[in-house]
Amino acid sequence: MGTFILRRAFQGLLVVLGVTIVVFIATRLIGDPAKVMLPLSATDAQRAAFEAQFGLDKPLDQQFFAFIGDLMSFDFGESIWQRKPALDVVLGKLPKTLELIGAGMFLAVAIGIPLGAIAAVRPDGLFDRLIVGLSLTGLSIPQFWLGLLLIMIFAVGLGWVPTSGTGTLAHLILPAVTLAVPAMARIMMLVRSSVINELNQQYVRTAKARGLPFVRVLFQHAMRNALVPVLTLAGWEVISAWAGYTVVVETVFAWPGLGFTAMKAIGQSDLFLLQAIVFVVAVGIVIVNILLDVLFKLIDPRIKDA
Amino acid sequence: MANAHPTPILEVRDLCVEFDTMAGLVQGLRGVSFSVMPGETMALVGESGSGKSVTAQAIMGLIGLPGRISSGDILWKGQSLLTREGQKAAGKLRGKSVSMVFQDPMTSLNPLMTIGAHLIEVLRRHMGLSKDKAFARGVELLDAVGITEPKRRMGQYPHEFSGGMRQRVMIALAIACEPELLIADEPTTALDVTIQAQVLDLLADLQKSMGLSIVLITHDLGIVAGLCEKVAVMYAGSIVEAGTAKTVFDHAEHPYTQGLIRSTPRLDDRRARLISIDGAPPSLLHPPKGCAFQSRCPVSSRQCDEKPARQATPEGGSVSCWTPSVAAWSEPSESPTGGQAR
Repeated sequence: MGTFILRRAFQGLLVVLGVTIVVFIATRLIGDPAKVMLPLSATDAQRAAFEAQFGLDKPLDQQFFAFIGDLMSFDFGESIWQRKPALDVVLGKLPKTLELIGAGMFLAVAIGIPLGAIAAVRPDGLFDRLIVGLSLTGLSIPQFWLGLLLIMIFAVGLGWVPTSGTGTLAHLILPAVTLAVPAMARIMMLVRSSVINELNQQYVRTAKARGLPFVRVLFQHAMRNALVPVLTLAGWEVISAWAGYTVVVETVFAWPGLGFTAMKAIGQSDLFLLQAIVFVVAVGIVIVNILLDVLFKLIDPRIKDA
Repeated sequence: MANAHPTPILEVRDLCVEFDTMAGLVQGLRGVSFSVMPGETMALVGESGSGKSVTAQAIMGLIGLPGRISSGDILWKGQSLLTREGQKAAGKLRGKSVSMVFQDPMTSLNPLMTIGAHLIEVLRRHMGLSKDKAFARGVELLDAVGITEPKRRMGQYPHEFSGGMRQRVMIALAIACEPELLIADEPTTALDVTIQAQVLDLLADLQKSMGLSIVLITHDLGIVAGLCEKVAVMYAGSIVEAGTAKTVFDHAEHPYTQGLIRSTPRLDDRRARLISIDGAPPSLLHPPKGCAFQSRCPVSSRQCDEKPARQATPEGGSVSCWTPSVAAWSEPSESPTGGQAR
C-alpha cells in the first residue's frame, strides 16, 4: 500500500507539472495585465515600468524558465491585483472553498445515497417514481439559476438567510444546497440503478436463502457492492465541484473562495494569481484521485496494484 | 404407505405459482405435490422451464415480484409455512433448518466479503455463536467440505477460489447451521465432470453423516440414479411421474419419463446421434387444458384432451397419464441403471 501511494504521488507530481506548464502558456494568451491594471491614461514609460516590475518584459522563454525555477520553491510571484504573494492569497481563500465543497458534498452523499437505495427496494413504486422525478428535475436545473432562485425565495422573499457573503452557518446553507443539488441528483440516480442491479444478483438471492433479514442483505451485501461505482461518481463530483462548479456557486453567492477569486483573477488578468490557483486545484485533484484509489482498494479486494 | 404414517419433514401440496408478466399470467407451477421423509433423498427431474427451480424457490421463500404463490401449501413437519404464523416460523427455518445450494457457485458469494465473513455471518445469526466461536466453527466446516488450509482460506475472498472450491464453500454455508433439509438446485451443473463427482460424493457423505434430507434438482439422470432414493419427474409446471428411483428408471410409466430416459446419452452407446424428444414444452402463458405432454407424445389420443388425474402405479409410484406403462417410443428405452423400460 505504501509503495502504491508513493507511486501514485509521483505520477501526480508529473500531472501537476504538466498542468502548470499548460497554464503558464494559457495565461499568457488571455490578456495583457498592464492594459487592465493601469489606467487608460498611463504613459508608455509607466507601462514599461509595470511590466519590468513583474518580469513581463522579458522574452517568453526566459519568463518560463524563471517560472519553473520559482515553482521549485513554491514561489508563484506576487498577485498583481492583491499585491501579495499569489500562493498566500490562494491558501487564504482555500478554507472557504473547502468548507463549501465539504458541506455540499456531505449533503449530496448523505441524502443521495439513502434515498437512492430506498427507491431501489421497490423499482417503479411510488417512492421510486418520486425520487426519479426529483432527480431529473435536479439534473435539469442550471446551477446558477438555482442559486438565484434560492436567493429570491429564501433570502429576499422569506428573509430566512442572508443573500450572500460568509461567516455563519446561515450563510453556508444556500451555497451548499446549490452546489449539492445536481450532484445529489446524479448520485441518487446511480445509487438507485446500482442497488437495483445488485439486488438482482445471485449472491443476494443466496444471502436471502441463508435466512438473513432483508435489511442486512440490503446494507451489508448489496449496498457495499453498489457503492463501488458510486464512489467513482462521488470522486468525480468532488473534483468537478473543486475545479468548476464552485466557480459558478461562489460567484452567484459572492462566496470568498477560490472560485470567486479565480473569476476575479481572470477579470484582472492576474497571471500569477491564476497560476497559483490552477496549481493548487491540480494538486487537489491529484490528492482526491489518490484517496479514491486507496478507498477502492480498501472496498474491493479484487482491485490489484496497477 | 403400509408403515405407520411418519410425518414428512417437508410436504408440498398442490402448489401453484404464477408470474404476472408483461405478456400475461405465466403459470410457473400448476399443482405440484410431493413429500420428503426425514433422511430421504429425493430428486426433482425435468427439462429447463419445467418448474424445478421455482419449486425450490417457493420452499425457500424466494419467489419475489412479479411471482406469487397462488394456491396450495408448503408444510414443514406438518405445519404450513404459508399462513401468517407460518411465515414467521419460516423466517427462522430458512437458512437454519432448511438450506439451499445454488446452481452457480461463481456468482453465489458476495465478492466483497471474505469466505470467513460469509460463514461467521450465518453462524452468528442462526447459531448465536460469538465471533471467535463462529470463526473456529467456520474453520471446521471448511475442513469438513474438503478445503485444505481452512484457517488461511477463511480470510480469502471468493475470487481467490475455483468454481469447485466455491461450491464446497456454498455447501459449507448450507450445512453450517446443521439443517435437516438441504435443497440442492443443480449443484454440479456449472462444474466440470471430475469436480461434479467430488461434490456429489461430498453431498452423499454429508447426507449419511448428518442424517440430512436432500431435495436434489437436476436434469442429469445419471446423478439421480447414483444419489437419490425417490424421483419426481416434472413437466410444464407439474409432476408427471414419481416413485422410487428404481421403479421410475426401470418401469417408467409416463411417455415423457420414458423419453427422458431414452434421450440420456450413454458411454457405451454407439449410435451417432443423440436421441431427443421432438418439439418443445408448451407455453405456460397459455398451458393446454389437457395433458401438457400431448403435443409431443407419440401415443396421445382423444382422451388426452382432458387432464389426466394422478394415479398410483403397481410399483408404488404415481403417474399422471391416460395410457401409462405403454412403451411409447418405437425403440426400447434404456435406463441409466441398466434395466429395461417397458
